[in-house]
Amino acid sequence: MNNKKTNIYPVLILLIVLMSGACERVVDLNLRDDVGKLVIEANITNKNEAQVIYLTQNVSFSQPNEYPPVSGAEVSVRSNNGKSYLFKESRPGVYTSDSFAGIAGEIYYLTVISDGKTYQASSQMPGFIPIDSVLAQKKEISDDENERRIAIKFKDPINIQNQYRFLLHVNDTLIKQVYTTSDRLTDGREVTYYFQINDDDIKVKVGDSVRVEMQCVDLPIYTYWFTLESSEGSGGPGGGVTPSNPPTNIMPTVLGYFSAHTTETQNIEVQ
Amino acid sequence: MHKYIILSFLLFAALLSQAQKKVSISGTVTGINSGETLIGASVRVAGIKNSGTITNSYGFYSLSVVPGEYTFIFSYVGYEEVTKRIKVLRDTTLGVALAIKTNLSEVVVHASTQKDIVSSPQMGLIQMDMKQANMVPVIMGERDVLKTISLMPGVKSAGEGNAGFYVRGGASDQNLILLDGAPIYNAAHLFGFFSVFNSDAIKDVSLYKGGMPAQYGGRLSSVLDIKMNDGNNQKTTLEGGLGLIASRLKLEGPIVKNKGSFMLSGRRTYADLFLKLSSDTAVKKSSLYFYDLNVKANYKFNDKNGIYFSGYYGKDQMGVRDLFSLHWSNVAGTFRYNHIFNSRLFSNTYFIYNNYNYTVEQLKNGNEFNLTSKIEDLSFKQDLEYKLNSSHSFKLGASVIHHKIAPGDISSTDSSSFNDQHVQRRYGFETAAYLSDHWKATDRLNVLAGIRLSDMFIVGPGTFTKYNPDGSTISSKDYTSGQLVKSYLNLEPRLSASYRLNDFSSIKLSYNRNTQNIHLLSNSTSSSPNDLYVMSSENIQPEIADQISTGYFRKFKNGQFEFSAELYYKWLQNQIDYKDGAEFIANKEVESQLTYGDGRAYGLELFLKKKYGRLNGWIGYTLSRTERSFAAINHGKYYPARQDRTHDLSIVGIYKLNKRWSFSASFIYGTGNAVSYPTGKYSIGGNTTYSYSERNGYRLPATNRLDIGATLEGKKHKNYQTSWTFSIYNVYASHDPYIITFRDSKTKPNTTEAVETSLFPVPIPSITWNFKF
Repeated sequence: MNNKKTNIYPVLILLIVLMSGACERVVDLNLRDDVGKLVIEANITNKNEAQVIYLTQNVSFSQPNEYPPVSGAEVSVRSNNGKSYLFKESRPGVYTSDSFAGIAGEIYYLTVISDGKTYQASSQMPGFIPIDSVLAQKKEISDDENERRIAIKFKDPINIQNQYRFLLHVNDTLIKQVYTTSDRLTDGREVTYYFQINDDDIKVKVGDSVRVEMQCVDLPIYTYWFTLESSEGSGGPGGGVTPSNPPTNIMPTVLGYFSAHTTETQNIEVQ
Repeated sequence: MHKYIILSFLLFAALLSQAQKKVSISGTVTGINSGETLIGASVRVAGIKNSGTITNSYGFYSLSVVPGEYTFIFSYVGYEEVTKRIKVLRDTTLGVALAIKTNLSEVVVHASTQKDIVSSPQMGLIQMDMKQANMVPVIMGERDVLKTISLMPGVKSAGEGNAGFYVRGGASDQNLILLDGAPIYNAAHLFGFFSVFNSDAIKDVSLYKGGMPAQYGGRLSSVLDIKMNDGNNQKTTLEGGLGLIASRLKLEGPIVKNKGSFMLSGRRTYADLFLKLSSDTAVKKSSLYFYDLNVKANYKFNDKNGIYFSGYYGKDQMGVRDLFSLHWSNVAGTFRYNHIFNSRLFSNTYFIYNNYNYTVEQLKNGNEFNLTSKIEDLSFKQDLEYKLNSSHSFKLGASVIHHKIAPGDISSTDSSSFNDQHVQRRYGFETAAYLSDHWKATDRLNVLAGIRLSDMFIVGPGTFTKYNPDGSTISSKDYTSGQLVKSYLNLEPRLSASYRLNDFSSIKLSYNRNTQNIHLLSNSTSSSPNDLYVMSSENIQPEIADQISTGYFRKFKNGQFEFSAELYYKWLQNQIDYKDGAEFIANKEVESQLTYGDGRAYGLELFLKKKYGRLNGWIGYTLSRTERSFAAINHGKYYPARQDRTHDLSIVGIYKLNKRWSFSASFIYGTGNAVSYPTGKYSIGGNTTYSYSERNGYRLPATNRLDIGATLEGKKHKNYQTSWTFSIYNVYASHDPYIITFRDSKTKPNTTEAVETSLFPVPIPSITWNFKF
């Protein structure tokens, strides 16, 4: 649905460019640091495989994008039917379980004990919804005949509240954006979701390989991703929403999230 | 509460019975050439100190005198003074027409114009001189009252390319914008690059920042009262202008000479014609324009009865063919019946209709939908002005506005991803009654005391849900048509007083309470056309503002210079913000996504104006603070609102070189907006993600800009006149930051960078050719 909002802005940007030749330049800012905070990224999927939980710390904006791992934590997950799974540190900051598949409808409880503090979260795995297809359509507005727009189609089940998150890879490179949608306005429909790529330097063309992952996520996790998505990029006139940390489902509050979700991936070669 | 009302009316009655044996003289002051009524023209009695008054918003004046023979002096800026000596033995009507000074390049000298800043108890008032305003250089040469207003102290523009404005720390939806009495909800064209007010059609602009008179209500922070031209009732004229991106045309003339006139004014942009020339297909396939139409007609049956009709229609259209389109429009119509019962009692009866609506259309394959939203008002208003004697003038009246809000309806096709959707309409009656007394207590002390009673009724039909602070439902109830859901009664005292220290200076004090029952929900930091209007409800309480202010006012050199210093402090209650992840579009449960807090704003405004002369203009400076507090943000501590601007300076100068050339310049400097910058970064889902510590803890760099303009009057011709206006926006190419964003560096892998975007980093010249027949 946020399609609706974001789609107004290309025209605005067009207008600005037309009128002014708006300009961008890299600036140096003197930013305060509030770093060394724990970041938990924990996922349980419906695929029968080793599930992975990452513990890292945030770093200063001016540092390289390398995040120090947090070692020596106790990480475990249990489900509401009484099963529990122990996560062992396989590499520094990377905690791995034995293979198991999350089950739709189950609630999973995460416990992380790090540096003497206990963090807890829960997430309910939604029902699995399959991808119908991944499409490449000719882009309406392009000077290049071969440029394509990627879309994903799926059937939303009626009368159930569903939330989705997508990941898009073009030629095995992850597009660094958050893509979400919910069925607030599309309940029960055959849904076509279009991927909009903010980085003008990335163009999908005939011959490229595209991989799309669809996740069905629960409501708090959708709100987490949606908030992140809303504060991404320029966000339109006035700079979009005021950015803040997205609301985590982990208590006490840390950066990151715990998500039990279903996943499915489809590859296509762009025609 | 009722005690107050009864008390007020008793007071009023007591004053009525006290009436002295005086007679009154009244009438309308107009311009001889155009027949336009002159607002704020001065009328005084020769030889009697402080006997003067000024004409009201409809050019009407009324003076009380002991029966006798007097000399009355009528004056108005730029007009020849008129002196009339007559015997006033009983209530008398005297209409006067003033002639424009023929040679304006001479230094104009006159006694007093508009509301005299020293003796009037009103404070926090900005009265725009349209002649001066029209000389101020603006972007693309499109003269714009809202842009010019934002060059005044206490008023902040919402940013480059944004028609929104903030008054004394209020939000942009807390301004009551009235066009001939009709509220305009979205005053922006093209996302705010222009305002909906076409300068050609505008006669008078007043902005109340504080000490709001009791006849205005419904918004917290300001009243922008805009009056349209009545039209020339002497002869038919056609004028217009051809500009780079827009053209204007205005036709006005008598319907029946001296009795009625009309004015028709239109404007259209044609940026889209240039789009067609572009080689870029995206640009070529886009539409992008707006137009406005202003209509006014009036007819005076006789000295006592007149009818007036004002209409406005404006529309914006933008879109990319086969992909999507967005259009929005404002409609406003006012019918006014003016009746002068006698020289003491002046009445205006209004019927007003207005609406604001927008449509978003998505045309992409499989995503087709059409979303519409509308707010529609129908109002009735009765205003009375009663002049009891030379020391008491009353204003009283009542109004009722019927609101109807259609928050959002979606219609789609069978193959679309979207369901048809209908969000229930909401209905309400916003009623108010007011009484105010302009009391000339002593020769030095002037008081404007008023009281406004507002009562908001939210009525069915519909399903109304109450929510907990966390957004969960408490209860839900169905109401039938017309059934009362909730009502909010508010008493709003208004008081301003001035104490004249001497003939050229005074001190003033004011207190006012304002309430607001129509709220704009916006999930971006500035307004956009598809923001949502909601009424107060069981969840949303009326917004309340209390403001106190005090000031020092002074005239120099016979009123050629005016200086004022005002201090204000404002408390805001029941302010609205959205929660994380809020979605407003076509959302039935939008009220579950809101959170409520408080605000405060305080500041000092300094203003020096040279009103006329070869070189004229003004300097305005504001030192201020604007803060908000919400439980869920910054641990409930006060934080600077985005529009908080510590320093704000504007300088405007207009210089008339000779009969043909005039030059103008404006310079602004302001502290940057308060923004949130990251205090760290981490990786989530493979994306670089930023962590934040506090709300609006940083500042964008300060903004500064110089614009210049010039006007060349063509040689005088018998039948027509022409002129050229030239302007350069951002003369010295200042990079005013529009936004700063953060991203992975494109040049240095594995690092991040901050990127500043400027909208108009280069000088933008423009040229307009104007003509008048």
